[in-house]
Amino acid sequence: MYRYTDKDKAFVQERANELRDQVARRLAGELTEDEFRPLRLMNGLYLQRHAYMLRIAIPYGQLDSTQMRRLGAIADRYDRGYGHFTTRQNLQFNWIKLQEIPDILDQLAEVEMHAVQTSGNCVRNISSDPLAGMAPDELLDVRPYCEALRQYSMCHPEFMYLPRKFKLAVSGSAEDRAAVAFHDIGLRAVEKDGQVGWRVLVGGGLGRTPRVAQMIRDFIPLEDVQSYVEAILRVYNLHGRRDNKYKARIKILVGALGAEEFRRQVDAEWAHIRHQKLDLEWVASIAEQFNDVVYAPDAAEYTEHQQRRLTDPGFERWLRTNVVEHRVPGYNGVYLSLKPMNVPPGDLTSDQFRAVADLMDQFNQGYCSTVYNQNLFFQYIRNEDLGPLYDALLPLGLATPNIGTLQDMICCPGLDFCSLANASSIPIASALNDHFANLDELYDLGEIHLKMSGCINACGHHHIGHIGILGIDKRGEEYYQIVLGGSAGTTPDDPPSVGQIVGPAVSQDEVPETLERIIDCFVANRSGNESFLQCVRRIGLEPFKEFVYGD
Amino acid sequence: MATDMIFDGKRVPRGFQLADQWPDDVVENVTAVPLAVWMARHKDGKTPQNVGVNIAGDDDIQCLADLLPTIPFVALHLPKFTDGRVYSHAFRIRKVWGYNGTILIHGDVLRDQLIYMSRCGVNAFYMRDDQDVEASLAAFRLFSGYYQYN
Repeated sequence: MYRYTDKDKAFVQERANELRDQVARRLAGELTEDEFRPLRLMNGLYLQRHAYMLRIAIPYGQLDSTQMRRLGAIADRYDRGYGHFTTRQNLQFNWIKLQEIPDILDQLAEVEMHAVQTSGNCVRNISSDPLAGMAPDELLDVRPYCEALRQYSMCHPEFMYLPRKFKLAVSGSAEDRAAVAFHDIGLRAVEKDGQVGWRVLVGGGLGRTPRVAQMIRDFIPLEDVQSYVEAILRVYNLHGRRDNKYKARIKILVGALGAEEFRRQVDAEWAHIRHQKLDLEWVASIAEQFNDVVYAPDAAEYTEHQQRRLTDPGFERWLRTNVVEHRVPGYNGVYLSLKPMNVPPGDLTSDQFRAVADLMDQFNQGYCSTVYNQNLFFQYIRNEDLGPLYDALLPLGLATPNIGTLQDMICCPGLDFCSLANASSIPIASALNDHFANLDELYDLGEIHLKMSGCINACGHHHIGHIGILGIDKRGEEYYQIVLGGSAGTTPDDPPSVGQIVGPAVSQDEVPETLERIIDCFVANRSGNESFLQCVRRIGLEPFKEFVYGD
Repeated sequence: MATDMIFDGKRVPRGFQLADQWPDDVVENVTAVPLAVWMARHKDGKTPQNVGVNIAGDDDIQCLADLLPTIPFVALHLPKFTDGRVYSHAFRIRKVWGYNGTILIHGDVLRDQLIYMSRCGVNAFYMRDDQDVEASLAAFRLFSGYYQYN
């Protein structure tokens, strides 16, 4: 994992000092709330319904056990004993006091963490592939490039007051596990004529105006990524709309200009700065730090876990659902499901933080990554550790075998916390979990991505759920609109798409039954082993409309 | 009315003026006029050696790229402290086109943004009237280094 240099340490601490001074001036009335708001937001601090929410950056989703323990300690001391992992691989605390923020940031800085640019109209913390460095289908380990871009974008003087927020995602494998097509800039490592470089996508996003990003470059060399991103940012900073916050994202600018004209303007800027190449030797030195994982040469010789799966159905189900292939024989990747029954998706208690940290040390070389789907991932699990890890995760409630199933839903905090939400998403998630509790049935249904947002800002990414649920306010009551056929777009066979509304919104009580009908319709129409998404794409929305609203 | 400005990191009396129209009596190198006024004069063939250009966020400044050596100073207007276009204007003028003269910022200029402005190439600051100029100088001492453009 990347370790801070003295320069990194100084910068993060000085940034925390700066906010300490700003908080003091706010509390003394020297800064108005209007003046303070952008300052706190660009340091991850939101004012929510009940308290301040602090969003802590987990750069490209990489954590070590020291950091995990510290997060648990902060949850205990400054929050209510838990934290919430987000769809952009970060962590939120929902019950924070303004006057305690500076101390929290100091404690984060001690373990090489911060909350810089997890919010605000600036370049946000970069998200990436939780399987980076171990995925069998990986073309390029993108983490060193993510770190280079992290440094490049951190307090970049020109881009701290963009028209609106700006999100980057980077992915280096055949399968995209970072939803790059729904980011302001999506970078995908690709190969062309034997060279590895970047495909550049621009203008994706969710919210009120869901858009699939458009490709403006099919290939740029690895060392050009920074100057090209800068050229895009400059064009956006100068020409993105500032008169209407709902039309200020880069997707609106790209839509208005057209991808071709946008690219022309970017190229004109790029021509001035293209000579500023990323130093690939420096990137290689960062890559070295990610290569500190030690693999046992004889790990593949252990096969006894295959015996246990014959006699232990729970273990068997967990292996099938939560464990994935590793590129090194004898090693595995393991998802820790943060979707147990009746707990808000993505939540972890402080005791769990500490227990997970211990398991990271015991089994995963001290590391873990955070996942777009609000889960955790252990990247380096030996065959012989699968059983002991499973046995340790089970009592912690982190071994629910539901990764990729209907239960593995993404869900925003909703009305329960957020000042923007129309509807509470967490009770709905709980009701759904009660309704779809049979794990064998869930498994038979195959991969179904359920995503739920409490309001049109779409923090729960409902637009790109195979099934999406959106909370809306209808004459003062909470209603839920259901969309079908969305996808983050993971492989060439599964292009990114935005879900379509299936029919009129339903009341909270009706949501589980409506979903059940949708599932019944899928089962009735399913051809062979096809997935829910393939089925929706094949038969269209009409059969679902009839099934759901027919009588 | 504030009487001081920050210039090259020091507190000094304000020495620049911003006018809407071409001044009747041009005092050498102290007055700036809007970009459109300046360009109109330039197109008349009267190369305005002693008058600066005052740029607004909306202005397309590409026309200045080759004229900068003739311009004594550039002023940037910041209508609202959250309007980030000035940063790109300053960056292009200073870092891309290599301008050596003074870049002055005026308008909703607050201490918490000074350092970003400075790092994009602004070297003269007319702070908003309620800002404490002396306290604002502390902004320049907050960081021992940056990831870009020290």
